[in-house]
This record gives sequence, C-alpha cells and structure tokens, in this order.
Amino acid sequence: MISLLCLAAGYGIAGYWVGAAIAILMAPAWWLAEKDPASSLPTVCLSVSVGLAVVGRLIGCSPAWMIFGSAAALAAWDLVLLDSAVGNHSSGEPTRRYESRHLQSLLMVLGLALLAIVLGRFVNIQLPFIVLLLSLAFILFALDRVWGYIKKRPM
Amino acid sequence: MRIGVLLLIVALITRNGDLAWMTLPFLAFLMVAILQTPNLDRVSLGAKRILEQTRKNGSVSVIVTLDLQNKSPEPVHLFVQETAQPGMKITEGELSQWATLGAGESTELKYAFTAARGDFSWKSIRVWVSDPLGLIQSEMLLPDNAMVQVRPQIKKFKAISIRPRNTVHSPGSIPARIGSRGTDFFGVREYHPGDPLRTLDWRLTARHPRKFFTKEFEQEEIAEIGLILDARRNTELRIGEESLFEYGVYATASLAEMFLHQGHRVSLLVFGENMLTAFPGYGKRQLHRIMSCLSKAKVATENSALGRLDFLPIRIFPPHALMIVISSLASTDRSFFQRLRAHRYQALLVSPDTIHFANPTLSQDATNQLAVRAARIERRLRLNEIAQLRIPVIDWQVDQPLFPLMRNALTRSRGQRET
Repeated sequence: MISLLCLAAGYGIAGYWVGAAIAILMAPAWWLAEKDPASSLPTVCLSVSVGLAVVGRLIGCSPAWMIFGSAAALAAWDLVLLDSAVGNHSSGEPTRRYESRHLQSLLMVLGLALLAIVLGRFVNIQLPFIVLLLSLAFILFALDRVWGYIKKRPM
Repeated sequence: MRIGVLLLIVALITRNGDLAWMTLPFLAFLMVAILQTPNLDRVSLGAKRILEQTRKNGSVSVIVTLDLQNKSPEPVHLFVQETAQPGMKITEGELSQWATLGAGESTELKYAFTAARGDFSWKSIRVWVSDPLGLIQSEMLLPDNAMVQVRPQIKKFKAISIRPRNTVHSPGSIPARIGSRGTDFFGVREYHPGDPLRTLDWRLTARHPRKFFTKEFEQEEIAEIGLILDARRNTELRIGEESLFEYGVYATASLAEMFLHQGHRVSLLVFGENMLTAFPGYGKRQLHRIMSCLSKAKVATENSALGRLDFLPIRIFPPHALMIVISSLASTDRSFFQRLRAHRYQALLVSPDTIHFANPTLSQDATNQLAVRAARIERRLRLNEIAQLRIPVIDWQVDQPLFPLMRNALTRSRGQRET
C-alpha cells in the first residue's frame, strides 16, 4: 500500500494522472498476490511496480517518491512471501523467531539502502561512461560468481 | 534479483543516476542474504521421525512427528518439508515449517494422515538451511529410515463351520469322516490291542461272547484354504474415491482372519501386475503375512498379457484345497474355473457386483436403463457359466453384508452343490 501511495503521489504531483491511476489500480493485483502467493503474481506485481517507478523517473516524476515506491514494493513482495510461508503455523516459538529475524533483516536492508541513497544523493561524482560500463560488468560478474559459489556448495 | 540487474542495465543505458540508486535496495537485499548465509560445513542437524498408528471406528490414523535439533554452535534458519505419499490423506497439521533454532534447540513438525491401506516408508528428512531472508537455500538430506504399514480394514466374522471334501491331518474343528479320537460318535469296530479300555462298547461286547468292541469317535481336522484376490485392471471399477477393488481387499482380509482364527491353513495370491503371495500357513504370523500382502496390493495400471486368469499359477496352492476366488469376473475367466475343477480343487467364487456398484452414478434415462439391463443379463450368464461347473457363486452387492452370503455358500458346499 505504501509503495502504491508513493508511486501514485509521485505521478500525481508531476501531473501524470494516468500513471497515478495505474499505480492505484495495482492495489487489487497486490491483494490477489497476497491471496495466491504460490503463483507468480507477487513477482509480477513487484516487476510492474518497479517498472512504474522507472517510467515515472524517466518522464520526470520526483525521484524520492519513485525510489521509496520501488523499495516499498520490494518489501511488500518479501512480506507476501513470508506471510504465505509461515502464516499457517506461526504459533510455534521457532517459527515466530524466524519471522522476527526475517523482519529484522528486511528492516536492516531497507534502512541501510535508503540511508545510502539519501547520503549518496548529496555526493556528485562525474564518471566517464567506460568506467561506469566496466563497473557494471564487474558488479554483474562478481554477483554471478558469488551466486554460482553458493549454489555449488556441497550439501 | 533479476529485477535489480535489469534496473542497473536500464540505469546505464539511460545514464540516469536515480535509476542506479533505485537498484540499491535490491542489491542490499542480496548482499544481506549472502552475508547471513550459514556455512554448511558448520551446520549440524539431528533428525528423528516418530510414527504412531491409532485405529478409531475402523479408520486408521497415523501421527508423524519430526523432531529436528540444531547441534551446531550457531543459530540456524531452516525450512523442513514433508511430501505426502500417494494414498495419504492429511487430516491434521502442516507438512512444512520455517524455524530458527538456536544452538542445541529443537523443533517439532507434527501431522496426521489417514489411509485405507498401504506401506508408507521414508528414507530421509528434507531440510533447507537458509539465510534469514529465505533467499539462498541449501538442501540437506538427513538420513532417517521409517516405515509404517496400514493394514486393510477387516470385519470380524463369526466362525462358519465349513465342510470341505478334504482336510489336513492336523487337529482342528472340521469332522474328517475318519474314526479316531474326537468328540462325536462315529461307529463301532472290533477291539484292537492297545485301544483304551474306556472306549470299549460294553453293551455290544456283552452280546458277543469272546469278542470285544471299541467305540470310535470322528476325528476333527483343519481345512486347507486358498484365497485368490483378482487385481487385474479390467475387473476394477473406480467411482470417485470409491474402488470396487478395495471391497475385494476388505472381503479377503476378513475371510483370512476368520479362517485363521478357526485354525485352518490359509494361503493367498493377489493376481495383478505384480503377484503377491502368502504361502500356506497358520496362526497369527500367517495373518500378519496376509495382511502385509493385502496392504501392498494394487490394481494393475494397464491391461497386460497377464490380464487373463489362465496365467494364474494355481499349483502354488496345496492339492484339494478349498479355493475362494474374489473377482468381479471378466468375460474370459470361465476356462480358469474349468482348470480349477480339473485339478480337483474345491472352489467358491465371490463376485462383487460391478453393475450394482456403478448404478447409482448412472442417469436413469431409457437408454441407460436398457444398457444396465443388458449388462445385468450378461453378468448373470457369466455367473451361471461358472455355477454350471458346480462352483458355488456369491453375487455380492458390496453394500450388503458378506457374512450371511458366505455362511450360506460355505455350509452348503460340501458336495459342491450349486447355489
């Protein structure tokens, strides 16, 4: 809901009412995703929300609303999946502890990321395009290596 | 995380810094998950599965308890999941659980299932160890062998005093038409040295001077019984959750229990895709073997070359045994019963009525009624063909109790008279 409100507010302030309407129309989709988390609907909702944020930023909407909107969509996606995983048997103490650790980690992720974004927007660094390209390639390569290592670990 | 990578690429293409910042929550999500992923070398888990079987009102319920313990020094976030096996119907609890276990802590996953019958076995417990966000999961298989056998439901029949043509020379309850020690008077013969004095017929001896006579009593022996359960595809009928074969299993189990309880020697053959056999035996152990076979019995998945009873190896049954065949009968089965008679087996056919079983689900229009009538005639002819071989036939409508039909058929079958 916060994600959709952020996106709708961003579009509304910039005067793009169609975008705001689309953002509000996403509410039933998220509701359906919550009802059927086993389907690919939560991921589709996340993708559409992030897509809306990207389009909004590209057409000139306020970056703060769009960034907060996409971060909140990530949190919503995670919470929908968490709710489906532990929702039926959250009465046990070990499950409650897992839920609480999960929420702490999510809060840490969002807190750190948003803090970094707020601080980062005050820093203005001009990088040549080739450096950016190489940095991106390096990040993608590193992520791929780390992911591959994790998946290939012995059981 | 593909979304994050995609965002990064879009940011680069559009050379938009805000889009690059937008990827940060996604990258942070991934990084936190990676940093908190446990080192599998240091993860040590103990697992135990406890099975408890209870029977209430005839239906069996199995309670499965999974006990997981974290033996590693660090907390572990894990996801444990059980898979429902075919035939299981989960009645209570959940098959999966997320849990965070501190060092030395344990958790319990409990669920209950019911099943008509079957063998259920487990070789391991599947656990996924993950980061707290559940993003990076590593599967672990914790070895744990467990097995539970759900035996078919039986209805305890009262003892039926059967009169087979042949008996096994072992003390039992069936009058064997042989004079010996027993309870019922059988006849009088001349005294042989060694006969106990208390069996002397004093009245007859008094009438014949210089001769002694001994009273004989009828020896009581046990019967040799062979049960054949038909598990062929073409004789099975399934409507919704109900299966005609299950009624056959129930009848076989009940008959085996009754005959073994009476002390007879019973053997079993389940004739289907995989033949299951319990060779002749007595007592509780034999009942256990038979129940084990019946709990594993399955209807053949397809009509194979072995779909004819002619291929049934009847020689595994002792000669002159009383053979009870439980089959809804296919059109080609007459020759098998002829063979049974040719091998001098005494036989009885219990045939669950397929038409009566299916009738409630059929619409009552004129065409259907005609078809049902034709099928009934065909079945009647088929049963008559078997009865003409002097084999008693029980046309069993499965919603009717089997015991009175069995009692009538078995008590009249001494001379192979037709029903």
